[in-house]
Amino acid sequence: MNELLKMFFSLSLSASLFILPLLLCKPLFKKFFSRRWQYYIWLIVIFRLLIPFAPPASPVGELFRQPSVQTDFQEEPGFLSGEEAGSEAPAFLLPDTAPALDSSPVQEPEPPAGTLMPLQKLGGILWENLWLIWLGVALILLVRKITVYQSFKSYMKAGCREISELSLLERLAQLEEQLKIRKPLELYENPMASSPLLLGFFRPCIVLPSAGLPESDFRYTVLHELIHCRQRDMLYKWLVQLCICLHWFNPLVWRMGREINGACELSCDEALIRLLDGQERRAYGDTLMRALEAGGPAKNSLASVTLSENAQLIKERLDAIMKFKKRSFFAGAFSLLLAAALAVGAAAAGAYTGPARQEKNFLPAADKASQEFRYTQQGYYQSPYLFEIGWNLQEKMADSYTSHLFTVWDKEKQKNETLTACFTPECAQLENDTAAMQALSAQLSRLYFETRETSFPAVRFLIVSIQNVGDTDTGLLAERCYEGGSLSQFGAIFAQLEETAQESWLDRIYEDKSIAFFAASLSRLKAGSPLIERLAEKAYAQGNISFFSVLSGYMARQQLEGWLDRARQEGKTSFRAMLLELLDKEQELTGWKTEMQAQLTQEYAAYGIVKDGSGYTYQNQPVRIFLDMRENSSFQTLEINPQGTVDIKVIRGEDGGILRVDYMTKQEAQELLTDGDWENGDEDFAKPARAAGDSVPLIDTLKFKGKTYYLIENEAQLRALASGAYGLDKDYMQQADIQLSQEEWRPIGTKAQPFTGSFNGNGFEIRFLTMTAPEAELIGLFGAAKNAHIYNVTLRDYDIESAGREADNRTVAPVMALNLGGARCEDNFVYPRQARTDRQETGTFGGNTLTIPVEAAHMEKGETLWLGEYLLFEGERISYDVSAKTGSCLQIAFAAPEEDPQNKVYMSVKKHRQDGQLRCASDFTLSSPVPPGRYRLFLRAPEGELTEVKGSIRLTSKEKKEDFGGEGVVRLSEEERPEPLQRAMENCAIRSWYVLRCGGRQYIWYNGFAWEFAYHPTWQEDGWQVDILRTKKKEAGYLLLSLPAGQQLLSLTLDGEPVSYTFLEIEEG
Amino acid sequence: MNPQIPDSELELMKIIWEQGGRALYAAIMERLAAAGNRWQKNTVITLLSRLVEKGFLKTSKIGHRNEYIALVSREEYQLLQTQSFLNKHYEGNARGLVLALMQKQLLSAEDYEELRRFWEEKRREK
Repeated sequence: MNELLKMFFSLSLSASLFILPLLLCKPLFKKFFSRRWQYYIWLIVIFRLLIPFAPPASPVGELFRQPSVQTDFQEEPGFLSGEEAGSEAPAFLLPDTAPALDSSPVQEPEPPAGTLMPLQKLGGILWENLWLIWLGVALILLVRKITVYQSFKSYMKAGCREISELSLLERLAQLEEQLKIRKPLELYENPMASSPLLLGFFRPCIVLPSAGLPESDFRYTVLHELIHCRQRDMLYKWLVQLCICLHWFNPLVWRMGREINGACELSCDEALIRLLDGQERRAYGDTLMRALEAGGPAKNSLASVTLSENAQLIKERLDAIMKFKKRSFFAGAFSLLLAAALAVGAAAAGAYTGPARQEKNFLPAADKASQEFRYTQQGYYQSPYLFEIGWNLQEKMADSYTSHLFTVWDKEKQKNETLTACFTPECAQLENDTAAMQALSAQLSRLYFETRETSFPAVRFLIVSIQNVGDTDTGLLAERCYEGGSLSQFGAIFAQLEETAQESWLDRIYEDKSIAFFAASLSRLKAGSPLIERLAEKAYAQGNISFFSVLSGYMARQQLEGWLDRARQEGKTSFRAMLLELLDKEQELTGWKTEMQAQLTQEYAAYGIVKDGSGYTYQNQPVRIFLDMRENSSFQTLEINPQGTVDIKVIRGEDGGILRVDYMTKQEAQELLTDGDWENGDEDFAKPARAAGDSVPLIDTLKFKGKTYYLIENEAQLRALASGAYGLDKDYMQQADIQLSQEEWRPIGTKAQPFTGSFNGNGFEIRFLTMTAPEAELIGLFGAAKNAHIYNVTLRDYDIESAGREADNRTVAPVMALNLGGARCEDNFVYPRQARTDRQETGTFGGNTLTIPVEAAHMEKGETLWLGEYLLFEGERISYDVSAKTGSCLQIAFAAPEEDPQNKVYMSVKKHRQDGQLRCASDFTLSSPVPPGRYRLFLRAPEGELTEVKGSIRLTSKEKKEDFGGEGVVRLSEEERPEPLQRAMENCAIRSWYVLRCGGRQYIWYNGFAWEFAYHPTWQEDGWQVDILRTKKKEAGYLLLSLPAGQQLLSLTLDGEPVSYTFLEIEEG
Repeated sequence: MNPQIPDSELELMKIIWEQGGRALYAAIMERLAAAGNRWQKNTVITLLSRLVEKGFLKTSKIGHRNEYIALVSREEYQLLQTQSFLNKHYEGNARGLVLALMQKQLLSAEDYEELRRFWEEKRREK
């Protein structure tokens, strides 16, 4: 909490910087600035006193923020560089005993003797709680002021008498009106009052010493008080009082209070005078004088704002009244400017707002960031002590340890550097051991100098342990540590040994194969020691790759390159591989690896091991576990293929070549399998191997209204369906056009096992269904069906002609061959690969050109040769080319099914023999007024008999699917829209349902339908009910269905919910 | 309660009594103007609030307008005044007052007869 006190001190200081000049410049201000300005300018100071606002780096703030690092030290002359190892302890400075964590600005001195202690302690306590004292005084003052005010007020109120004189009340009201004061003030008379005053804070009232004032006096007095009220001077006064209470220790603030009081009255006068003319001003002055004379004893500046305070002030005021003149504009502007400048200055002066965010930095030169992260710990031997020291300790960690400061004289930098050493609890006891401290100090400064120039200078140490090992011989010590397995201590001592001793130690460690000690010792060797090279030779010669790799950490790049060359030449593959990786030679490594692979393959081949796509085979048996392990090598192969049958291992000899290949024992295999992370290990081996084609393709399902639909998307699934893999009683929906391979198709369902489910072609096609097997009995997509529902199926380019040639009981139908009862097969469309003319399909046909050959040997007179019923569409191209050898007249025409061809014919071409030739040849297109529809084609001999009628009639329909005009709801694609429809669609809003009528058809259109869908049209007596189901999400898409215009769309639903659509009639053309 | 209220305040009370014991501020202002008193708004407010403080009136808000309700009726006030007057000048004894009234011929013979009969009755009732 002393922080709070500090803050107020700083505020006080900051404000005082402004109070002084304001006070001093008073005479100057008097001349140039209005009284009002002089009165309100103090507000800036008041805010400065009360509000702890400060910019981050402010002069006053900094003043209060001085770091409080103190070190009590005795300087020792001269210093010694830390580089010299061991012999002479460098001169250093005694460690400071002050705990560095204490934030108090003054460090606690050591308690020297018994008697002095309590006093000093008291002083300390007092200091600690200074803020309490301050706050206490402030509160007392404030409370006192309030109580005094209250008692004065009640005293006054007691003696008050309401002034009831109407005239006076009226005048008061009029003055209030003049000053635009809305709420009327009460008017009292109290002879005890020293002078006319305004009483009260919340509901002020005017108190006059006597009601019998002459009119002018009354007027000015009341005006004066009213102005005080309007200016809210009471509030201002109380604010000032608050400042005084909080800053009771600052005499300048008291002075300011007095100053403000005076300025208050003067500014009130000024405001008043503005309303008066010269004569009136004199009158006002008279009033003031009279007020001074009259009046009772009671006054209190806090409770009231009086007309006159003291003679001095009166004098000033009288002076001001007479000298009043309106300020010029410039003075006004300037005053504003000055006020602003002062405000900014006060803000900038700042204050103490708290301790610095940055922590105390002992080594300002060091880079803070780098100190943070690197931490190393090592043992150090400084006879007779063995230290375990780590650095750099993280700052936040440092707080949890007791720490000491050591100062070191840096000759080069010509200054003292302070090092922090944190002690773990174990070492803390040795703090008082001066010898230990000396030794430690020496070691620390040595470390400091060693690391000073590096990127991680040691500045914050953690002393992990301190051991006094006595004056033992280092050799003995080393022995002890080695035997005892104390790695870091050994390292510490090792560092202090003679070179020869180190050498022999290293050899010994190498022989013992203690790689940990090896590494630890190596790290203590002087850089560039020849020992390293020598040991490397040994390791290389012995193929000791682990030791070699440790050594490689201490070798320069060039050295390693040299080794790599040797490894290459001498074919030491493992060394080569390791060095390549160390030296980051990616290319060579990969190249070499492939080389090795090639070599390996050759090797294997010699023993009957072959590796192919799926795995290894040994003598043509698929290998389950393949193990090739080489000693001292970095390549080792272990591969497991669950589908294998044999387990083998490759045995290699000393030179690395293959000696032989053996089968593994069951035990070995088990070990390898249970070892490591083969999760499904056992399960895989239990399953029998499956042939490639045996797997049943996965199939998606869609649930809708309690039914599960299987979605057929590709040939594999369709064929799987045919084989019964999913069930012949399920409900299927086609999701995409399926193109079948020319492989013989096996129909879905047989007599014995018919299809009993449902199949919704969904407007998609199945192309190239091919059946050629001569013995096939049931020929078609579905073989036999019972109580099934097959609909919306489209077969295109199917070929089932040649199938079943040699079957006895042949049943053929493209979609469903045999209906065993109850099966519904409807709304299906079929287009054979090459439509034959002798097959008249009542219903639909498609394809491009239909050629109808005509061959009649003889036709009687008037005979009509019917050539079939055909569907003709808009734009159908019809071409006749028939001739007769003999005869006079030939007619080719179409007749509408219901009409009598004798009466009405369409597209009739009648030809008479001409130039010896009777030929009907004509090319035309079906267009209005002939409506598209069903027509029967016929040939006639109207006038006489004809012989050898030969020729053909060709019908070419447009390739658009829309033109066939099926009796159902069909799916359309992008290309199949007629022009006018296309244009209309472009004008439709996206994501809205439309039903567009164009030409002879209606189109259900939804642009922006990002789903695969299935549709289910149901004929309900006089119209279609079309249900649309969403099956799979797509990126984007549309929905386009088409149905005949003549058939009404009763309802349209999406996922069972009815949708509303807009119906549009499209004009054509 | 001290029945002494200054004339100006009495004036207001009279207006309120005339209005049936309740009056809106606006009505009071109107009546005042009608009576020829051009008092300022603030004056009236001050006087009314004094009356409230003294207990002669109480305020109630109708919407955002103030209504003043007399807590003391005219008769009560007259009685209070009379009693205070009697106490002050005739030691609480009405006899002296009546005498004075008679002496100054402020009371006629008939009035006196009436009064005497009234008094006789009162005395017998006691």
